[in-house]
Amino acid sequence: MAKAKKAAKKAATKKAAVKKAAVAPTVLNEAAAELNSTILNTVYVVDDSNNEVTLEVIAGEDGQQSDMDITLDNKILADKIPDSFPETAIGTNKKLQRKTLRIRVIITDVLPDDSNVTSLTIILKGGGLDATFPLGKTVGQNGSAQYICKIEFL
Amino acid sequence: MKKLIVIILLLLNYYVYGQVVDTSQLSLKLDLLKAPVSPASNLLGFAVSDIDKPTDVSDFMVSLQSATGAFTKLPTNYAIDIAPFLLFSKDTGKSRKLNSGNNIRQNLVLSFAYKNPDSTETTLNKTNAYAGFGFKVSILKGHYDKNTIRGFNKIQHVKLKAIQDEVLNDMSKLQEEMDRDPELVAMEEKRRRMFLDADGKALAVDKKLAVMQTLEYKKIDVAINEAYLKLATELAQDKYDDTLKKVASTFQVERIGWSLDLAGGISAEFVNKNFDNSRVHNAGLWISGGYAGKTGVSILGLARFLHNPDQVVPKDSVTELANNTNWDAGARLIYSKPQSKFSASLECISRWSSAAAVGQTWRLVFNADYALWDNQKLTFSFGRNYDGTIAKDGNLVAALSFLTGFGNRRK
Repeated sequence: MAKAKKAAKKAATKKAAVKKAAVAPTVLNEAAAELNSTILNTVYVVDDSNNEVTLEVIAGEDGQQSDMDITLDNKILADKIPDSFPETAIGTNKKLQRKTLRIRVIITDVLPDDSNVTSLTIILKGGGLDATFPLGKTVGQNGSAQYICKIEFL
Repeated sequence: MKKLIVIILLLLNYYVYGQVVDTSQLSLKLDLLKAPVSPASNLLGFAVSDIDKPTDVSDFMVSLQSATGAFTKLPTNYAIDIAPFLLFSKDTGKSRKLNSGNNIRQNLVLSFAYKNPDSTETTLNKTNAYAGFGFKVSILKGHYDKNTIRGFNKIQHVKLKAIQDEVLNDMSKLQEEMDRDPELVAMEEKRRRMFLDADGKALAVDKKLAVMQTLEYKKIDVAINEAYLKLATELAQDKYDDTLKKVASTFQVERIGWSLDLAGGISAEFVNKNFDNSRVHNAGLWISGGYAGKTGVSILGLARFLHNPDQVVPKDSVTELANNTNWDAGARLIYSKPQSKFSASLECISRWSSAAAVGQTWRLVFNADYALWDNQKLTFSFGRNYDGTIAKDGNLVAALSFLTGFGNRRK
């Protein structure tokens, strides 16, 4: 009897693992990725919980200089910061509902010998599903790329 | 000492007029101990400024379309360098940070060239057509001296930051304007409604995530992003682009540490422009590497193989057509500091030729240059050439020139 219970429990655990694996851990912005774009306009799903949502923004590569503004509705989260935005709690799921995150970044290639591919990666965690939004653009020597992003919390 | 050399060079200068590209291209002419940037073009004698270097797929297609008359004919003269991993890659995340594996991927350049000589051609056979393929990869690139960068470029960082701040202010206004666009607002509202039930209440999280997987959602998401991109393109002002580029170009740093470059190429000759009748025109393989120190002194070594079938080579007192293969090996001592206008180098190269009359020979050259302004450079070269027809007495002043350019710098 105990053996049968153990087997049933094992089967249930296995089933749960399969179900969990069926949901991808990361959502990529397929639309923007296909455009090889500096533009992003998308949605991040949140729930009614009090769990914190965190934001991280990684800007530029070696040999590039970036400058970044981040706002959440009218609240300024980053005001012309020269580096990447470290992982920071920006509010609970509940509080973020129907709010809009706006990220503006300019990346300039200053060392021509390094990569001329500029990139911006936005990482949101703690909502319905952790999500990574990668953007990128190749610029000419000493060129600049301007990234404009908008993410609605729904 | 530097001033004395400059004065001597000024006194002895003569002028060469023309459209000068950038200073790195000028110095290439003197850098004999260096793997070519574009091997295929090098083998077919293309000028550096004639090589297309597309930075994205659209650029690449435009370049190809333009050279082939909208894909209706073979190009007359066409040379292109592409970095395949950067041109076609969708990987834009953290994984592209520099490490040894990515370094090679980022560096690999494939070069293609096609030449259909016309009546003005002087070196190639006008009745034939030529095609070349080559590659170049930096296996080791050295690294930037971070302290030097911080010290030298502090002012440039501040200048660039000030302009970037201005751009961000403009981008903020631009985004406000984009977000007011009625068509975009309507599409966003339609997307928003997809996350609500019939009563206007928010769906449960799992249902919201399921909505995002539907074709209808994906379609509207793509449409919104395309509209957003269109608005940004239409409304954006590029008034700061040139200023940014100007400030960014003032950053001067050089890599230090070990470097190793590998390049190779082969070109084919199509007899009477008939693609069924071809032979190898020439081929080459270059390996160069060395160490660049913090003090600005670096040493480079090079091994080079150049194969030229059916070349005119000397034999006894006459010449004959024969396969000529050259094996070169040499070293170069360079003095060049990142912020200095003066640089000098001494190079020695030994050549073993398969042509018996040429045999083993050598070359020793001293190069010096001084950047007067952005677009003007004094160059000086003095030494013994291994080409017997030019330097029979063993010593010569190879070149002394004042190179000046008119017009804008090449962008």
